[in-house]
Amino acid sequence: MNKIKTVLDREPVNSDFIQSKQDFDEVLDGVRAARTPLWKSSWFFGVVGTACIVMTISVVSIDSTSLSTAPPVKAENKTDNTIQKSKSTVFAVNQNDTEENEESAEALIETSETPINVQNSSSTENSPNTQENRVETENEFQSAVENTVAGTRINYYGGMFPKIGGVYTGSIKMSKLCSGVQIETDPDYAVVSFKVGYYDGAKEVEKDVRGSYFPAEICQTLGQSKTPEMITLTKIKAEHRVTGKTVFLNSMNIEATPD
Amino acid sequence: MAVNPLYHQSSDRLQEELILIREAKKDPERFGPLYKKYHEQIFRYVYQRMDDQDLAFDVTSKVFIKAITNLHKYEFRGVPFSSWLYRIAKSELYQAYRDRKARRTVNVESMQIFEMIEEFEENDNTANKKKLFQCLSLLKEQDLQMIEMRYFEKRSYREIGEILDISENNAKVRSFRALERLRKLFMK
Repeated sequence: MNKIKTVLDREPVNSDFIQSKQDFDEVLDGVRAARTPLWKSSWFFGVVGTACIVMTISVVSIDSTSLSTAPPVKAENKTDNTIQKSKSTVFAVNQNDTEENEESAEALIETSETPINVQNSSSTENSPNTQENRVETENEFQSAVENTVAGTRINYYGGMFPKIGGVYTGSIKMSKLCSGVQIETDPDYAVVSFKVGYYDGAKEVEKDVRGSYFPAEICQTLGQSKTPEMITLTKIKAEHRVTGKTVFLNSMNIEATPD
Repeated sequence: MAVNPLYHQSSDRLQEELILIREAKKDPERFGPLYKKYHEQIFRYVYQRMDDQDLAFDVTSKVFIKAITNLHKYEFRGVPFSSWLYRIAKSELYQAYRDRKARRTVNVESMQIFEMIEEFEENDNTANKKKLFQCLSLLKEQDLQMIEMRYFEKRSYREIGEILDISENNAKVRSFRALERLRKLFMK
């Protein structure tokens, strides 16, 4: 603040002059200008913000609920030559493998809009038994089991779980792993390729494998180890036996224990 | 000491004022009568504490803009509406000082100086007048405010209390202490 200034006997201001300076309209204009617009007020932001959050949460929850409780695709629907957004092609996604996620997502997008044409299907499809089998398979696909991996909700579809020697994750005896076992999954799908990651005694190795069988050469390397070895099976590509559409299955982490 | 009669209003007039305030709360355009009633008082209060007349009118307008904007917060306490307006004026004045738009000024009349010197039981000569002048500018803002309101503007302790949002007794004590400090400075 500036230094105080003292003034002695300043000329008094006339009351009429003060009254002539009264301008209530100007004050009202000032009031209108001083008022914050509705969209700038704090309560507006509060209400709109809360509404947005609530809407986002409800949309996300509705979306996840509809995914897990969607009615099974009926066999009759297959007679329509229309694009079916089939839930059966939705598979579990391993959260640890981002790259794989992207590929899986691509594969899902590709397979989820497949036109199902009855005429193009095999002639046996029309028989009641075959239809029943298909419906069962579809239902199996739909029976989503909700699991939690590292706090993230993932929908697993039991029929599409890859397994090797009956093991999806955990320990497997080296002798069993090297006895010509293959990666198995839903009977309608065949595994065509995958990646194996293991420790060869000196460094981490990753190899591409064609087919579904666990390679014997890796068995030779692993067989020399006297301690349990961690093996990762990633980018497991499976192909539908009839339509030829490809999907990526869950990655697997198994521990090969010496005999 | 004579007290400014403007502050003291009968209960009927206070009730009339309250009706006007209630109407103005519903519609700001009904604030007109209150504006006309208090504009001069507020302007004089503001202009008394600064040296720029135009700026004093500006600050007065701002006081009324703020009053209308915040009228919904006003609560009747049985005292004139002017006390609430003075409180707003005080804060707007300090804002103007902080923005360095206005300079803190003390406007005194010879008569007021004479009364004060008489209070100190000293001779009313030019030297003492000069000395008192200097002492006023050396006072702290709080003390100067009390001297201005009590001894120059002749406000009652009750009104000072309402303007400063303190009790009547506290206003009394503070103004006495402010006068004592001024006396000490003067006697040095």
